[in-house]
Amino acid sequence: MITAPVAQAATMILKRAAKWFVPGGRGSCRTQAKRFISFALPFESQADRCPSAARLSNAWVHCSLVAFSLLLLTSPQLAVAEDAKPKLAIHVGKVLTCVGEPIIGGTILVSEGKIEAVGKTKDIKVPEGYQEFHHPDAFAMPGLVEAHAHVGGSGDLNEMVYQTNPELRNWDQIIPHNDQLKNAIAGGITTICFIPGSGTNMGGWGTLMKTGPGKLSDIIIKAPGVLKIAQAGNPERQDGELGSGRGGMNYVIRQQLIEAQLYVRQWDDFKAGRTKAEPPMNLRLEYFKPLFHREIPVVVHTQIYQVVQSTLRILHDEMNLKVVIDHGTFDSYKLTEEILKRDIPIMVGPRGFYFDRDHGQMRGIVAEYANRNAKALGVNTDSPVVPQEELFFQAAMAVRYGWNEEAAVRGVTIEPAKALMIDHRVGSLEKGKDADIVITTGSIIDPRNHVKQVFIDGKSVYDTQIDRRRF
Amino acid sequence: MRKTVFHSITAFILTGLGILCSGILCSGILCSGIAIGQEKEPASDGVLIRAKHLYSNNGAYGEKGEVYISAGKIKIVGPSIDVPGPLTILEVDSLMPGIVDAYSSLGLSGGTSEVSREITPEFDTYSAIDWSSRDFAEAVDGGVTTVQVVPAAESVFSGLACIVKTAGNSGDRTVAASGNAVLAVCSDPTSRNRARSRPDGIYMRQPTNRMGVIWIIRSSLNRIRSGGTVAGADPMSTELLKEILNGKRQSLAISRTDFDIRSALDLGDEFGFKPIIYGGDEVYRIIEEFKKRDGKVVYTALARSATTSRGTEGTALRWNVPGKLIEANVPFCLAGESLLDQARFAHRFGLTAQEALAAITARPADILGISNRVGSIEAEKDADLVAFSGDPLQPTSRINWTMISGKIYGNDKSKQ
Repeated sequence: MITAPVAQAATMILKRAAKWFVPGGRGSCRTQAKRFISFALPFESQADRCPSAARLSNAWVHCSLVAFSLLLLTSPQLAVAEDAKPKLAIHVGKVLTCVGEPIIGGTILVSEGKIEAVGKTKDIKVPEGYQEFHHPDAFAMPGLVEAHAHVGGSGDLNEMVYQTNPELRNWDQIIPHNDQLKNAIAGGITTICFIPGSGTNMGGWGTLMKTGPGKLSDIIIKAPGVLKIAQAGNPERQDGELGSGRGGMNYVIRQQLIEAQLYVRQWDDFKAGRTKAEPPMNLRLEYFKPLFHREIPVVVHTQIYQVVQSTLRILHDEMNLKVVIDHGTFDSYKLTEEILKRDIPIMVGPRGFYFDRDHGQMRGIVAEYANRNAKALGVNTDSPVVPQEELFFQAAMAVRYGWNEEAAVRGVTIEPAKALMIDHRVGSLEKGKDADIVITTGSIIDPRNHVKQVFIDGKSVYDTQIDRRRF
Repeated sequence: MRKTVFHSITAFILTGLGILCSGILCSGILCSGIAIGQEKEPASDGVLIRAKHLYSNNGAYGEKGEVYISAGKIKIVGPSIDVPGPLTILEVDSLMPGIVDAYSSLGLSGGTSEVSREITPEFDTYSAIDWSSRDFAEAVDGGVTTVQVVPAAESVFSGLACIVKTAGNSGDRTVAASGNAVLAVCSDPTSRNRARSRPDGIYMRQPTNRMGVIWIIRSSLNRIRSGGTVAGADPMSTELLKEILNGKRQSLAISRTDFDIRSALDLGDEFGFKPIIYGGDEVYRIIEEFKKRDGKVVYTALARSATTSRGTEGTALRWNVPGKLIEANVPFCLAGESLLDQARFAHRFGLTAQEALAAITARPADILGISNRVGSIEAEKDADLVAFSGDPLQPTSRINWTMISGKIYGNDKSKQ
């Protein structure tokens, strides 16, 4: 929902602008300079990250960098950090695994980029050759998972000539570890669902990806990861085409899905030996196969009671798709009972509250869902509508309106991971999962706390001791 | 009926005579080259150039050297050569091969690409070249002797490039008439299209962003691969796209950002062809991957780095990219405007002097597949040479004259 929360977005823009111009704040040259030492090629300097910086000043930064990197070379940490898949033992005051009870005084063992063991420090023997991290006063939690983001790459969000665009995909434009993702990491986000915009009824196929550095093949979890459908609001057509209203838009969506369903059925019949002739391959409809096989979900831009109703009826009941309600705002919480019957996850945001005219009362949308017993519940930022790094704040505000804090921690980790069908990889601290670990000074839901260190796939990608606090 | 046939035959004969006459007329004009302007025909067939410093791209770098030229070709190269017969002898300070620009739009007249449709590989730059364009004369003055004329990436498959010499009579100037096929893996084709305007306009079409660009490439190549044709396009489009897929025609992908460069290689992998990257501004960001995937790049961003840190499409420019490319052993060349200045900067930021000169001569010739004709001073190659008043990489050095296929085009007559 790129357009709706104008006031909120304007505030965010002002806040972002302020941060750019505060010395030592986000995006400042000095912060970026240190980052450059550990990751960038020589001469991949700061000009792209600090557009205002002149070449001359960069030259000075370079000079100081040379001196600084010499210092770093002598530290033992760097040598280990260069190892592709280091073995780590992370000791913390408290582990929030997001499955079961928190562990007081916990240790996490990491090897080959995966979590090897999680438990009480006294129960875990650290084998030889493990690099140890000690954060006795800090929490460890799984990397945060964003269910609705647009900041994974270039700004090519909406291709709006046609109303349904299942031929489009967005992983060709991914810029790994870009500036916004670096900030996201500083906010603890390690996985995002990067999707096309809601300018059309079917924007295209999105990517589930990590926020850390690396080649495209290293950072992609799934591509296609999700299909993006937008049912009302933004995709309305004003040019005389069908789809100026909800009835027309739902007709268009249905027609496209029926065509795709037939295509997938033809192939399924052929693969199962029920038909002899191989159906012709249609590149435009190929990615519907995992969708109709329920291997990937459709994330739906849907909100308002009536629209969510049609989401349930068309996309779930009729098309039998794995559905994620990916805004679910306004009064759609009144449909919770129907949503629960269908076991559909709800990822609320970026708008978090709704003014209930019937009762003259402001309501927190997430809390309303939770009060109606929704468990598969989370929040999203729709970044850059809300800056990606402020995912925790979406959860904090939901708690402010009455959501349970423990549920909120799950709502930014394991619940979005389940909704996106990647909970076998991310979302909790469990043996065998990706070592995406966030070290915080306390509960991430409390805005007074901050992120100290972030590991993605077992590699330290952000450390306030080296990088300073970026956020 | 009979009469008509007779008339046709007469017309045919008359036309033939006409061609013959104009041929004689033309060669007459050419022989008196000196009279009509800058062209200067050496007195005899053979020319011996004595250079205090020879930069040959083939052994000699700055040493004394001599080059013997006959019939527009280099015949002998050595430190001191002995040729009999009447000779024109030219004394020069420094001599290097003619500069090869792999990415230019010189002489392209009447629009730099076809914009009525997205798939027009049959648009042939060769048919739109104005041979008398002043651009060519200016290129000659700058020591550029061979250029690849590339259509702009205003549409997804925007056309065919051609390779020509910058001077000479038009027939002899052609090196490759319809050559590499252009593929826009960038945002260029999206700039003009609109998603929401009058639905009867021709610009109400995909792509309006990169997702659409990728789709148009994938869908059209997929149709060709599965034996179909490109809907709405000329039948020739189908043939040309087929040639890209079966490796008979080299494709060049105009890509500048790191992700577009990667996407171009990905498309190549998906459909089994190897595009050469043109632009390549941000290739340094993925240089390891680029090397592993056998990427080749015609790097044009150095022409811009002098004035800005941002390139087309907002790419982040760096000075020392050629240095990084050499270090990684990636096939590349410099291209675009001010090639001599580019080589000077490349030398200042990471290339040896020898590598810098090769980056605007031998390397582009290699990438264009014309190194059998141009790019170095070697026997049996075209006599395309540039004479300088000093070291070519010194900004104080002047170009005395440029020779193309043995013919001198000078902007400094006092030195000849």
